[in-house]
Amino acid sequence: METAQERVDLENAKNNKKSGQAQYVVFNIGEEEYGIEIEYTREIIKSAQITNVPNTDEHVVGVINLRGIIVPVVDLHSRFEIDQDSGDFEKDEQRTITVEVNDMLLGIQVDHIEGIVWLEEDSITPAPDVESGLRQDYLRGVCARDEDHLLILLDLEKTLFTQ
Amino acid sequence: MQDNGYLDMFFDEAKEYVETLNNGILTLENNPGDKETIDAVFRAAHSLKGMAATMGFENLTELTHKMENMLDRVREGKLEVRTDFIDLLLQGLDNIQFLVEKIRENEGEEPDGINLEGFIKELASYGQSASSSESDAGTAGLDADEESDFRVGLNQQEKKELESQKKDKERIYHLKVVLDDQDFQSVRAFMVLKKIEEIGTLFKSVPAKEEIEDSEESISELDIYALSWLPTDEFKEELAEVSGAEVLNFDEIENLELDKESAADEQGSLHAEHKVNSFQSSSTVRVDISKLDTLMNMVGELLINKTRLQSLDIQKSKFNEIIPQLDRVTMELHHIVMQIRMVPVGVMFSRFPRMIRDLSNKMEKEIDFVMEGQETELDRSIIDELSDPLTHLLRNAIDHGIEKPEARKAKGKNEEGRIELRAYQKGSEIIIEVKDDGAGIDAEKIGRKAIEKGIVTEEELEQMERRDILDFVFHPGFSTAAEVTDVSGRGVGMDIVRNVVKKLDGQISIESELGQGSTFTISLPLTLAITQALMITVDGDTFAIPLNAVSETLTISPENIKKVRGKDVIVLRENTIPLVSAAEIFGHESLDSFKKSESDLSVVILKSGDRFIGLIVEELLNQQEIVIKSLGNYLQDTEYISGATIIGDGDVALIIDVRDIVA
Repeated sequence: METAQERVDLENAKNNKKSGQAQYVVFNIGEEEYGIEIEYTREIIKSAQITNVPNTDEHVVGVINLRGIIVPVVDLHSRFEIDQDSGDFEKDEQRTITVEVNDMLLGIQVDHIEGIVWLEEDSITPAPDVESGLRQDYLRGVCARDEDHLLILLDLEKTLFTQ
Repeated sequence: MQDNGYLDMFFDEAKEYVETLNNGILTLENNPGDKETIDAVFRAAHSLKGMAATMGFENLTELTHKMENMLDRVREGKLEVRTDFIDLLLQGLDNIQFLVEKIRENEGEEPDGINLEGFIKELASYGQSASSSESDAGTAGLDADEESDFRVGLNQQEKKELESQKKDKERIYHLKVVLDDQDFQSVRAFMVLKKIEEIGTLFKSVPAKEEIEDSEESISELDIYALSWLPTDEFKEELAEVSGAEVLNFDEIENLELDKESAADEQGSLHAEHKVNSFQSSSTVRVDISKLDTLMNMVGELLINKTRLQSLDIQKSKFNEIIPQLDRVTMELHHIVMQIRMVPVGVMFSRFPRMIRDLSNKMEKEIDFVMEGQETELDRSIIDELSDPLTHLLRNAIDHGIEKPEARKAKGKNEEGRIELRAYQKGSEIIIEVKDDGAGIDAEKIGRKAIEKGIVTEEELEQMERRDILDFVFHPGFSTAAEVTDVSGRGVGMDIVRNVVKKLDGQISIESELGQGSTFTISLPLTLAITQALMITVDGDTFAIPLNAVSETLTISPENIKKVRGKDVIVLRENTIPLVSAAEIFGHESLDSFKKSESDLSVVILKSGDRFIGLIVEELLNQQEIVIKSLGNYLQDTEYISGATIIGDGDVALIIDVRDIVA
């Protein structure tokens, strides 16, 4: 618990609603940029001391102590077949996003937090068939943010709960 | 839709009153004269009525009102507590529970279309016919000068006659038939009686057959006593063939109730032996369990921070003064929070006598049910979880354990079977036993079945000890009852029982002697929240082992490790104990690397039930109190890990699941 917990004001952002638009928390895993719906997220913390849990799936890195609650933390590198050090980010840019999915509190370890963005629902298109080894099931869609910038939107339930 | 706050309160209180009523009524059955209990039951019915009326639940108000009236008459000495009275009260209680459940399903409104009038009338008329037989006897169709028994509406002479007529294995039925309001009621009444004569013997009917034949008036109701070999269901089915006649209040009358007088003395002495304590309602404050959980968490946090503070090593006199005080306060706080969470197991046990009573009647078995140790306390969360497994074990005991009276007699046993439910504390564990003196479990049969199901091979079975073979009953999809009944024996259940117990960090074991009975023993930690643990390390990570699972710790040299049937063991005081390496089960190095090592090995001897296993660890640290936390649903099935705790520096240490290792 020595780690100072850095909170982004997610709650305020959530109260902000526009029709036809939705907010996404955008982050990096390796080079790639991913987004998840803000409704799932609870807070963003500096990665805390992780205790490894044996005999778990490869993507489960372990558990952390979040103010007295034990929270499992997953690392999506292996799930998305991304090299651990493929990104161009410093170690201390690493964050853990805590999300609540299916009534469970989980942490997702990411290499960098990009920020919170508004996306037009119309601008989201189904994922193209081949997306860098990423399994189709995990995706909600993609969104072209500008010319050469593709944001991958995750289906969190499937990403976290597919065996 | 009602205001939710009030509604929740209503459900909470209704549950409490129903429990009070249930306990009280069953206590009354054994001690009919117990004034205190009568008062408590009356008060519960009264309070329930008041609540129902406030909430505007009309049916419930009416029902509880009638029950309250009956009880009031008992209080005034105008009514006597008899078996039929108890039955009626219990039926009333069932109806209350039914209504409350319906209200819950219907989101706080009493649903339409519930008709309890018939039953409410019965309640009302019970008070009447039994209390003022002079005035009402005519309508009940009984001789006014004979003392009448409502349920067995027969006088003494008729009872004797009925009994002498009854042949072995024949059943006595008492039923009320209502003829719907169409033409030819008397013809249909006649048909009903004729049908009964076909399927059995008509003993008595009100009005009598002759009266029906002669009668000019229409007949809407028949009160009938009959003898038949047909079981209840078939008897009812046959009668249903007569059109326009509905059977109400169908009762099978046991012999016992007919010659109640002669049996009364004997019964009294039997019950005196384990007389139920006079019923008492307690004064308590109701607190939402989640608040207690939060409180527990916060105390846990406080404990952790206190430990961190202590380790700061500040050399100031003030600091050294405060720390011991802080220590004392946190310990006391912790102790009290644990106490608050404890609930006597009697809260859960209280529903069982009724269940056993109903089931044993249904299964035609005679059962003496004894409960002990209701005052034993357990953590609230354990109690909530434990009720289903215990229900299952008790059902099993009635269904598969206790034999039918004839079978018991043939074996030279007492015709009345005995089921004991006992709770007691043993060290830091709570033991709950379900014991029956029934048929016992046939290990050979279990073994054969296990082979059939492909769970083991014949060779494996030969190597197995009896108790391991008995453990197959916990295997999913395992059922040994020759015939599947609707009470138990569907092959689901025992594995679920074990899973629940396991989830509660407890264990279950069986002892059984063929022909003598079986005992299921569940042992549970006193509390789920905090326990003493032995801290160890494996590959540099710290783990906790609950101390109640640790038999001893020792240091061995690698050459002490022997091989028996290809497995690593050590011999400790002439016992052969299998060895496993913690690093290996956590997916690190294998045991062989330990054996090659020159240095001594630290071994923790773990016990689960009566099995032992040696766990090789890297380093033994210390013993400390830990706050047990769940790993959450995402990781709950992790093998060898049962939970986590937070240690002094805020890090997480995993708790080793000893049963996974020893099993």
